[in-house]
Amino acid sequence: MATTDLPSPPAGTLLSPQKQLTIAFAGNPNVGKTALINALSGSRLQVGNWPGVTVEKKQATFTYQDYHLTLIDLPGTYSLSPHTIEERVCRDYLMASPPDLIVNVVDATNLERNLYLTHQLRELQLPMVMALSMWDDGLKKGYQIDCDTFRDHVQIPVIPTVAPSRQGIDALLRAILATVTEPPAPALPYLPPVEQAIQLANEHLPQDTLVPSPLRRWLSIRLLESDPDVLQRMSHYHAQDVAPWFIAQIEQIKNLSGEEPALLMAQHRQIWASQVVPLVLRKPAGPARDLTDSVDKFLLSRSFGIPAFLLILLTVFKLTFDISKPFVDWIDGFINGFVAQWITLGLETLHLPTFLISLLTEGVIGGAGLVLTFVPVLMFLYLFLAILEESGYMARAAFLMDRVMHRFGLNGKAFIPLLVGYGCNVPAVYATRTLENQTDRRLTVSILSFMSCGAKLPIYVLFTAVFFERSQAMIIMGMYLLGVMVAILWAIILRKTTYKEAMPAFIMELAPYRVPSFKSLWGSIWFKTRAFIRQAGTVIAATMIILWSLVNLPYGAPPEKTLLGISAQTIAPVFIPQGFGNRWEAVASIIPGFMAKEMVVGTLGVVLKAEAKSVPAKPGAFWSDLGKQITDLGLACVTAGKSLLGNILPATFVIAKQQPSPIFTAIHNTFTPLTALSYMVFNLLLLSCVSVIGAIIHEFNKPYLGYVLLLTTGTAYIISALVYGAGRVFGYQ
Amino acid sequence: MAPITDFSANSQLRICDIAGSRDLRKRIESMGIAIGKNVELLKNVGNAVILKTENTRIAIRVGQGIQIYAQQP
Repeated sequence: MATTDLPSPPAGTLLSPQKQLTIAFAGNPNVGKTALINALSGSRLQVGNWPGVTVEKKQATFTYQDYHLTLIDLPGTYSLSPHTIEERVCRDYLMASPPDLIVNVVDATNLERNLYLTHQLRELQLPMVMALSMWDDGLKKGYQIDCDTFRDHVQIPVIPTVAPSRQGIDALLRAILATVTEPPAPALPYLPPVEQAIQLANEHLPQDTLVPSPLRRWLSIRLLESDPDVLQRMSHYHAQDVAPWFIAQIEQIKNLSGEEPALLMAQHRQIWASQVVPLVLRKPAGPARDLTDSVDKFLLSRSFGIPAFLLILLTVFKLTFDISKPFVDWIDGFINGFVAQWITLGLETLHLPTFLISLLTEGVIGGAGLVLTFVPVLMFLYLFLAILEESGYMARAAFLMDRVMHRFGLNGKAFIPLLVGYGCNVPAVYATRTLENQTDRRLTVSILSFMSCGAKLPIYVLFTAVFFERSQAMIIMGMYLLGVMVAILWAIILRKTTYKEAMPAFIMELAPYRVPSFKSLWGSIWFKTRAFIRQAGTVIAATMIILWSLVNLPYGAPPEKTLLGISAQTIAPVFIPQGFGNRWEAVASIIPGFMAKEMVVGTLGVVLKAEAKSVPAKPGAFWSDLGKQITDLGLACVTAGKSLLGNILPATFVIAKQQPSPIFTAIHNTFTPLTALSYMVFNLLLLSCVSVIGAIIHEFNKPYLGYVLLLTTGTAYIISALVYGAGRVFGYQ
Repeated sequence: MAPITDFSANSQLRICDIAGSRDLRKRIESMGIAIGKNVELLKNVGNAVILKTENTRIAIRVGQGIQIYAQQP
């Protein structure tokens, strides 16, 4: 939420009591509602080109003259009939707390389609203003819209606007303030017998009904449209006879006209829109081919569509992870190698107990550092996803991939988060927001952790270097493939069991291609990154403190006597079927692995007593250390720049050669090739880390997290046991 | 009159009927694909079609596309 004072109110008015006004912005997806709110309030709200990107209700507040205005950004919808999550959000918001005025944002280049919603919004009987967005695009196409005639037909003020150049913004604000105190325009009547039924329903509805009195007509329409939620709520809150009365009316209309009232009303709105448009719009003659059609001819063609899509995705993947990696490494070094060590030194001079110093530096600062290391990768990913969304390409990608994905019960749009999952599962969970259907989102997140994230690669690299040096690449590739196969298998099973509701219809608007604006891109990135730091970050940081306690308590005890060592020894027998249950050290490394997969190798080093020692800070070297950090940041920028021009393969998939070290011998003595394989498979299929847990809680809820944990842990347990069992059958140990 | 999935790309069509469930029909109509409307079939790629009306392009999976009937005007 942002508070701005635009434009300047006359002097003295700020001290007078202000009138509160709530203005809801409603319109089809991609018509520029958010951009209009930004222009009016000066705030930065997210703008997407993906139908339904603004599922959350967002708002901006500002003061103007005597008014304190709250602008609500409603999700983009084609109608108020509850077919999608966005439409339900809109309906429920309007029912629960009707705004003082609605701004119906209508795309000037798509009048007829947009007017369908206008008709429905007029049914609400609330003060309303129409903002004709993208007026400049209409002019470029040679459209001539007669706003006066338009206003006469829709009976509400019609204001042409161009949000980026603020054209029409002041006029819109004036129209809002002038209209908000006026009585709403009379309802647009339907044809008999529907209109008669609405009139009758108005009389039949109880006085104290679900909605405020101006919305009674709309409530009658919703009930006659057989809106199941509203019918149910009526039955719950009111006399039992209300719902049956409406059902009887619906049947009566069906008998009279041969169609359900819902369809008669939909057709009426469509006909009204098609009658109004020719009266107000003059279009140039000739074919309406434009740049979007020409680009689509190439990007959606049979021969180039998929290769172009894969090339674009490879580029996004490479840019996201390769550019962010030097910054991730720098943040890690800065927090753990500079901030933590200098704070350690500072705390030591205060003579604090060593366990407290360790808790503060390794637990608290280490936890915060871990959260911050996700920030570069998330910011770059959000940037590129926002570019794909806002340019209009994301919808095309979904269209292309749906062909393959829907065979496995997945939506085409699920491809993007699943691919992102190979880099990091955390942004991938957030990337599922592009799926408009909650069932599809849950199904996608359920199989997400089988996409082996970048942090799991060091485990495979280390273990294959120790046991399978000659076929290292093949084994690692096999790991990735196994993950894909398990994901596909689970997708098919879950679609037929847990998520067995019919696959939602794939009907999607392919919005015209647009050049994304920097302002909206930055708004999108910052909004999401901040939400991650605040919400998922808290869970991650808290868990890091728990992890510190496990590894370090009782303080100073040898690894096998710590809480981690004792717990690992207790639960180790559970892993007998996987072959590594007789080595508590292997089990001990899995526990912190749940916190972050990066810690598996490190913990193995600790519990096998083969870790490298960190260099403590030297008193007096602060400025030279700080200088080194600044130089390192500069180097990170150079490395990020170079990575753009480097290897075509993203760094996540590049296997670095491992030099034999003490941990090689330690692992060699602890595992056999077969138990190493089973250990790798177990880690491959396990939920990546606590950061993913934080993201799932943030995006879904705790019961769903429990479900995902059970599914992934169970799968990891069973498949790794099968791998070990199969190996034993073939005579391996 | 035939399902839109039976026509080839670049056909100019007039929507004659929309079958299927009430929700599907209402959803398609609210997106601007209504009976009597002239549309252009931009693409027919086997598993899905893309229709264009006004400045709107709508991708529809074949499962829903076969329920939209059209004819060449």
